[in-house]
Amino acid sequence: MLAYHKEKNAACTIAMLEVPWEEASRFGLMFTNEDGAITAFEEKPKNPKSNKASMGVYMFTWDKLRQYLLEDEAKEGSSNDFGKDVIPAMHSAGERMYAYAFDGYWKDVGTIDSLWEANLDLLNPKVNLDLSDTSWKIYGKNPIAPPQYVSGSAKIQNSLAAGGCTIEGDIDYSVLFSNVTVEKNAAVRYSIVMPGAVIKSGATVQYSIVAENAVIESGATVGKRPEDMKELSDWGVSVIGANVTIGKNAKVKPKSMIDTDLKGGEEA
Amino acid sequence: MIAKNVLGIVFSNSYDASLNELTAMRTMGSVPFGGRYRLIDFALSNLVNCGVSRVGVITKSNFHSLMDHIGTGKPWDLARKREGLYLLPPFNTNDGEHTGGKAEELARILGFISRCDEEYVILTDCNNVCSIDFNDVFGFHEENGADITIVCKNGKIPNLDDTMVIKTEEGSNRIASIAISPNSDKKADYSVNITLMRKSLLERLIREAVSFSKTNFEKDIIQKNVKKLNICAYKTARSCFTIDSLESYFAANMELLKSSARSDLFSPEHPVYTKVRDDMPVIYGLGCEVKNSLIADGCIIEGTVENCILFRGVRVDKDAVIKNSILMQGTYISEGVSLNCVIADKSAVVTPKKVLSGAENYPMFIGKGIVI
Repeated sequence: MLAYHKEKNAACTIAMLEVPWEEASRFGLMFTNEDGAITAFEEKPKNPKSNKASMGVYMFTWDKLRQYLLEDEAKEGSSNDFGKDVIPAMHSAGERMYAYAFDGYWKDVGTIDSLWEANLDLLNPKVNLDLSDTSWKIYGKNPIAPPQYVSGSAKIQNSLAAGGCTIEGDIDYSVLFSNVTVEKNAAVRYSIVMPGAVIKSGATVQYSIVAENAVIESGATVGKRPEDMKELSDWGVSVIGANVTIGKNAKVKPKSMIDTDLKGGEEA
Repeated sequence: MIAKNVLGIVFSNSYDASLNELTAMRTMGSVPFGGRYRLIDFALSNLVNCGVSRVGVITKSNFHSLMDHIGTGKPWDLARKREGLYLLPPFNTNDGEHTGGKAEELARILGFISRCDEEYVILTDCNNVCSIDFNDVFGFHEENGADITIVCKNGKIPNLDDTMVIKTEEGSNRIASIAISPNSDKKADYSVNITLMRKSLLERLIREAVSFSKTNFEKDIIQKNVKKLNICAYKTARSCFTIDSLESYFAANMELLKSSARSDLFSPEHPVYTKVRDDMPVIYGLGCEVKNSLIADGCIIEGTVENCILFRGVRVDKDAVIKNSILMQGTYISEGVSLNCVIADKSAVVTPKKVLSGAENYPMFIGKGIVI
């Protein structure tokens, strides 16, 4: 991107991704000429005329950025917003602004559904995102935890699991963060389970996000398969908040967000 | 917290020869263990978990991998301006091989020992895998008014030179007699070579031994003084695995598949620290079957894995069946391979459809980087 920025002698280069037309209205859109120069912007329009979305990654020539930031600061009534004030000012002043076309994996995870999808994308062999690429490691904080243990009663496939997990149940198409425990006869499917969460025996978690240190007591059920819904419009990813306990045999419906403890047998 | 008052000294080359397959290119301390650790991690973590903040690591030979592993000591919070980690490599004295015992190694670093201002010292080997609370050992030492405390466990006497098998006086923790490596198959209380004493006492004992040209720590220092000094045995009941051969190395790894051993070694209050690698989570492929195994980060498993220890970044391709085996970092098992009772050192590759099997008391060993 820097090489492209230099080649175009640009003041500002914005990473750009061509998104499906039906999703275009969610994004800040750009229009470009044949050279890749940005000719116009459009912010989340109802009827998009471009599908070139800004990825929110900008590269500036420092002198130019400094100049426009100072001018913006001096301007009366400016809201000092990058997208609303600074970028438009540069554009209307005729600065060289370019779109850098990106074609790798990119996902805006600003909604529950897209966060859930992005996690499960890691399990999709068709998605171009290789975590095992040693030349492009993804660095993070490493939990101090022993390797994960998969017991004789466990059934795990098509999933990701991090260090310190104890897996004794049935895991399919899911992502387990560090130090997650899934007890015997518990099932986790199409779900994301964050660090330290415990899924006790006989509990079922499907199409859900379970946040840090949540406890799903035995026999509880969280979420449902879309196939099992009478009304598909009632379906959605269920979310259990951090440190929340879902009591024995309690039921959490699809699409619900639970941020306080649920007592045994209750429904929410 | 005994904290700042104790100096830790780790012998990284302890009993290298007993595990010569794995120590051909490394020290005992840097032998991989339990999926993501090196043996020295247990000794270092035991020390720092009770607040020891100055640790000297004595190295003799083959310590390249050890240095690579411990680096500045940051994972153990031993990268400090004051105290911290001290690597103590041999001096080039041009007098040939250092063949002497631990007393000679200690004599060599006597300058380092006397410069440290801690009041006590804990000496520890690397070939015992255990999680021992040194605060407890220290409390025991004080309570018994001991001059020297030796951590012991009950079990089959390891097949190692200089193993101290101890008998305590009746109704007391004081050691009455010490036999060195007796020829016996019976269970007995033996020293796991974790020793606590006043630093000044250690200095005096080493100087004495050196002045009589004695170099053997166990015989010339401990055994010799058993009557003169109050030497006590702290008997640990927790899981503690002594590694004295490839067979016992294999068995100790397999012990980790039991939850009692894991909870003894990896309790959240006493974490085991190690060098981090920023690996991805394990990927379990469609149709893989994994049972009773310990799996470290970065593995990609598409085949069948049963009763195994998989280190970081191991790949098991489709239709491969791996049982009762230890595969170290970066091992690649291709399609259709079948393994049973195999230890594969780092980055070994087994090409498609090979069938390899050892036995539990004689695991088959595949050397580092070997392609089969």
